[in-house]
Amino acid sequence: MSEYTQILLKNDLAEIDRLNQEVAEFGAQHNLTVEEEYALYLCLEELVTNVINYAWPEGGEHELNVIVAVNPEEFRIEIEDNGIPFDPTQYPEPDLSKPPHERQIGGMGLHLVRKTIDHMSYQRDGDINRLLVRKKRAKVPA
Amino acid sequence: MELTVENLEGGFQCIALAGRLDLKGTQEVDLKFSAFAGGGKKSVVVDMSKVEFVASIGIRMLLSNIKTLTASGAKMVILSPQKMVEDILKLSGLDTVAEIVHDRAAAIEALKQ
Repeated sequence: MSEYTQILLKNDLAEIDRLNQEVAEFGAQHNLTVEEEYALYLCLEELVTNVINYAWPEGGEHELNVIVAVNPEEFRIEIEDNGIPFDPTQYPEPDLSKPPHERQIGGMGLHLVRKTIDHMSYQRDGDINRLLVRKKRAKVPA
Repeated sequence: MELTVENLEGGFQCIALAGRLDLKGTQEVDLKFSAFAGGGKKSVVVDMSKVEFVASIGIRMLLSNIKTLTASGAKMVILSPQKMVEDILKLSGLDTVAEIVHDRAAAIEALKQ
């Protein structure tokens, strides 16, 4: 059985604070390990920040919908917004072999998310961006 | 997010960070950190032992100061990051532009090289 929490956020970076509080509560309720909580905080901050910063270049007030779900096998994050189409799965990887002065500062967030989770998929559904991220849970010894 | 600065032998400084280098925490210390770390042209130790979390915004802060330091022939040595924080530093490739060490003596030694 899957349990989930749904959080509606405004496109304001100050909302990430509220999101983190919800995640802390959710993590405590479902006995997530510290590693799992770390991954959740990381993915949510990176992905939600991207949406808030880039989805609505025209500005104005908008909302995005975040769902965090967990079952014994995996946890899942779903993010929906009605901003401009953006497929994070197609975003290029940063080149980490370059010397310091040539290292690019952008693109790191998505890179970290990709390295932390097991699956990421994207769908443009009418005027909605739907992003799904899944991560397998650590096996808890019986 | 807290930041404290300690003077080391040889005129070097150790900048100790404590808290979460997430969006909020990084914004709280970014200016101060850059003033101490990238502002001088002298190598610094960044003690990360009390940092519980780092996201890309924190990586960005570290990387931009590493760039400033290396541009003036200096460097950053990262001291004692916690396991998960170290994993993220490595995934970000920071370990190839700043040395990560786990004891103070090694940090001071690394500064002198």
